Amino acid sequence: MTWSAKRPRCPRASSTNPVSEGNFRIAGASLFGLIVFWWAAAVIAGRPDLLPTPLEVGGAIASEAADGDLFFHLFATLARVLAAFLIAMAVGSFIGIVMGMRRRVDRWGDPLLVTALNLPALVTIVLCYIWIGLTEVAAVTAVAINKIPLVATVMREGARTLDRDLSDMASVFEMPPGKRLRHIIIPQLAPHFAAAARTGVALIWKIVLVVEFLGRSNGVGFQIHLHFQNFDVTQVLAYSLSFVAVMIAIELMILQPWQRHAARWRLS
Amino acid sequence: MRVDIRGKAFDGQPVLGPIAFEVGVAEAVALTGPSGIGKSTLLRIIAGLDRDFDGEITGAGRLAMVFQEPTLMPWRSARDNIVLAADVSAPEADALLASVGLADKAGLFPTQLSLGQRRRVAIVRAFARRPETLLMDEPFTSLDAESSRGMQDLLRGLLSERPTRLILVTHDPRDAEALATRRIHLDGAPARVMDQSAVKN
Repeated sequence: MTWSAKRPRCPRASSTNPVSEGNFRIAGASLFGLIVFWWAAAVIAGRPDLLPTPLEVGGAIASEAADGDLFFHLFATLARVLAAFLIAMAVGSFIGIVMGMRRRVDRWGDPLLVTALNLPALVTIVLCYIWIGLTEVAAVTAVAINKIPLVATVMREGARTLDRDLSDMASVFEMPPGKRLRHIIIPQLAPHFAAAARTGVALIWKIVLVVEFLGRSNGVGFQIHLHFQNFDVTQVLAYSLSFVAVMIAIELMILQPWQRHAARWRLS
Repeated sequence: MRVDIRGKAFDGQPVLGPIAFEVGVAEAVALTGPSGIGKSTLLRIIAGLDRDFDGEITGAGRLAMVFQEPTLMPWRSARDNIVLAADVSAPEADALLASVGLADKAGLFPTQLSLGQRRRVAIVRAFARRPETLLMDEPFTSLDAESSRGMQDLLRGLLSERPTRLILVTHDPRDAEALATRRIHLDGAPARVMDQSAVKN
């Protein structure tokens, strides 16, 4: 038998499965190399006040963890990241999907989106603090505003490429709106949503630190501000590396497994 | 059912002229004509996918359609494609799949099936809906002669089990001969019915 039609693209399993065992080992060796390099640099520099060794930073992390300060500030930052992330994903997805599906809205909205994309994070943060006040609402709003245009751009691309044939099929078969959303629209948008989420989390936590640095009295950004005033590099590194570890854990344990789950039909 | 189209245009350019015909219960009509004449446009109008035309379609009842491409949800198994679109139970979907030789494929995703297998899933999905009118748009494109014949036998079998109105768009006279009881030939610009004839099968 000969089939002349093209078969759909099947990306290789490994491309969507970045945490296979081999990759894990390579990632571990790579990070170990970084620590060795850091250690050597610290020893050669011989200035613990400017570049402490990994051991000294580890000790600072341990003592901050022991008296509970570390977790208090990590949690404060994480809560802001989560709040801003959820708001940005919800609002950005809505805007992006509407723009992707309605050409008129897209034509009017596109210049605004480009403007928003090019607005520096620092400007929105300062303006939010001035207009709303030095509050939690202002902090989370400022971060969300920075992220919404990016989410909207990614989701618009997804909505633009929705399969018309499948929509036609759903119409002829009179699939109810809820079923259509769940089984036809969302699976097509899921990869875009996952991409927006992953780039989003990385961007958001960096902006959250700036927001905390400028106008909050807790969180990792506040701690960095505090220790910056004392030029305490060890504490600055202790807090920032702890939070990097938290974000990597979220990436590996939540985002990547979810993305793999959503893309499992491609792996055949 | 009655198809009564007075005209259809794309951007002011008329594609379909006056086209009127009736299709009785259990009748099978093949719409033929040169490619690009507007057969698929006419079928989309009958399916309710294109409402921007002058005229009316009446009495089509419950519709199902087999598209030119299988048009399955690639992220759902063969079984779920039938369950979700045709609103039947999983055992019913499995039984239908078994009846077309796909008993052991029910749990597979469409990307794991061959084109011929995907087309069979698309056909049983349409029948699972128990349509009063079944629309098919070149359902055998890009299949070799042998697979095409197999698919036609399958379709005839399914049609004989339940009286269903069939409207089939094809450019291949062999498809028309194999499945239709009547042939409606479209031609001209804008397209109109040039010839209607009974098909001997």
